[in-house]
Amino acid sequence: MAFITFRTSIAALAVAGAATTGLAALPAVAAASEATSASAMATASGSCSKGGAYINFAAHYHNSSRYHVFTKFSWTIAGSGVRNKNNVEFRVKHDNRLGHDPIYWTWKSPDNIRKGYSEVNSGTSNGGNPVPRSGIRVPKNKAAYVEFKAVFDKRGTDPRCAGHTRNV
Amino acid sequence: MSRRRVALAGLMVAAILAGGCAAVEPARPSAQPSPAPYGTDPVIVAVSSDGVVVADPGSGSYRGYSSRGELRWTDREAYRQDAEAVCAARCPDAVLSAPAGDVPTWQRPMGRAALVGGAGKRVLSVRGPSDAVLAESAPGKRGWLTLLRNGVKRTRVPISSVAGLLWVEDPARSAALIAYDDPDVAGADIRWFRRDRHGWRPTGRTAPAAGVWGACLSDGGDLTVLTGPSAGMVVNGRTVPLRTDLRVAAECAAGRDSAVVLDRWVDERGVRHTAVRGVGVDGRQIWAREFATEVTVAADPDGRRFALVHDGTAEIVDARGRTTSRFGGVVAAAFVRKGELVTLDAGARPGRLTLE
Repeated sequence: MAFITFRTSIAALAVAGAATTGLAALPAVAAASEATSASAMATASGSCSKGGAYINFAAHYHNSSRYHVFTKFSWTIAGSGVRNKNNVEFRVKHDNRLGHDPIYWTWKSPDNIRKGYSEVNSGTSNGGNPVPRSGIRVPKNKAAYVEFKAVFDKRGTDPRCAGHTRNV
Repeated sequence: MSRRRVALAGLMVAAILAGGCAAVEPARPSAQPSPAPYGTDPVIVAVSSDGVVVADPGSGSYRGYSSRGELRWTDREAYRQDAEAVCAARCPDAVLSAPAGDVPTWQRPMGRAALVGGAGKRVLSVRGPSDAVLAESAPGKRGWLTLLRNGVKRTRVPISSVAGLLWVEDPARSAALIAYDDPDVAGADIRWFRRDRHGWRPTGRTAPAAGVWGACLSDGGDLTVLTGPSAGMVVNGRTVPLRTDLRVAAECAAGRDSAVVLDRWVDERGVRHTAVRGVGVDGRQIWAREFATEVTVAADPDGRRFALVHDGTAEIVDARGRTTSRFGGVVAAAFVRKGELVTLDAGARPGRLTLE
């Protein structure tokens, strides 16, 4: 048995950029708002942004026949006036479609996330609680997604935004 | 150990169930059956040139097909129990090991049978009652791999744990290795095995399992790719570092002349990405392809061709990553020999593609 035969998964569900059609099992895409700023807006791409600041987020994973295993989370914080004491928080959840979504994993940063690129890998903590070295394992029959929140460090009231990746 | 005792130490096929006779249905003592955690697409769980075993979430069953695509058996109970399936001497004859101490069953076209000697064990490989590899451990304790060998004394190999233990075979089923899906496993080793006329035997080669969460083995076993934070290659016994631009080699597919490693992620818009890299036997990156979709990769045993399956299509690429052909209606694929692909469509029906 070749190992790669265990690697088949959910390719048929993956349609690049298909944010609104053909994926009935998926929840709304992104940019739920926790606005504190009246000028808040989400970008057309759905990345989480507020008050001129934005965060691009990626959750890295690998597949076995039965599981998605999240092993790395990375993000880029940018925008005008953003300083270096941002907060980032994310949760790996699964969409049970019956109300409250169970949380597999939560990571909260201290008040010190610099603008630009940052990452948390399995086995490291980057100031927050350590991500398990073996990653965060979610059964494939549970539609998993990663919810992320950011509080941007700017002069005056800190804008904040939240969003989540689509299910994997 | 005498021949007689050797035979008794092997697996015993207790009874064959023909025509659904329930009287000798093996006991299934698991208290709370859990549904198999497959996604929505069918999965090739075991395959050889003789047939294929499919996990079909649509029907909630494991299904064994002949090489001509004839359905030979269906097992809903094993699927419901999330049993592990391995091909016996010829697929789709297969052994299904359910978790929680059940007796593995041998699923064959004429019926199923209990493998008595395998009670409470994971069957990682089986060619016959006295040619098999079994894994066992008590909860939270180290365990043993038992290699049952035809006509000679069995061999035992220590393992860190049964949970998360991976048994990876090459397409020709002549070489294998054990690794662990937990890169944090303590004090464990990757170990290689080869077939001889009695069955499987350890080659004696080992490597630390820490930092590795998966592996691929080329035909004949000369090239191994290890994935995870400590990813790398082992080529003819020599450790070769991977030199790619990936942040991590998360998954792999290996052929004799080259291999593929990939990384995958989902971005803040929910778009899945797969970065696929072809690497030579020197570990250097040969080609790169970026996909804004989820891609799974199968390697031709010669390593000169790969099948990239995405969006319901099998895209065949050459050793430079250039697309040479595409085949629609494919959600999963595996090479069973040079130029020969077993595929699944979205309805879990197997097909066969012969590449020129």
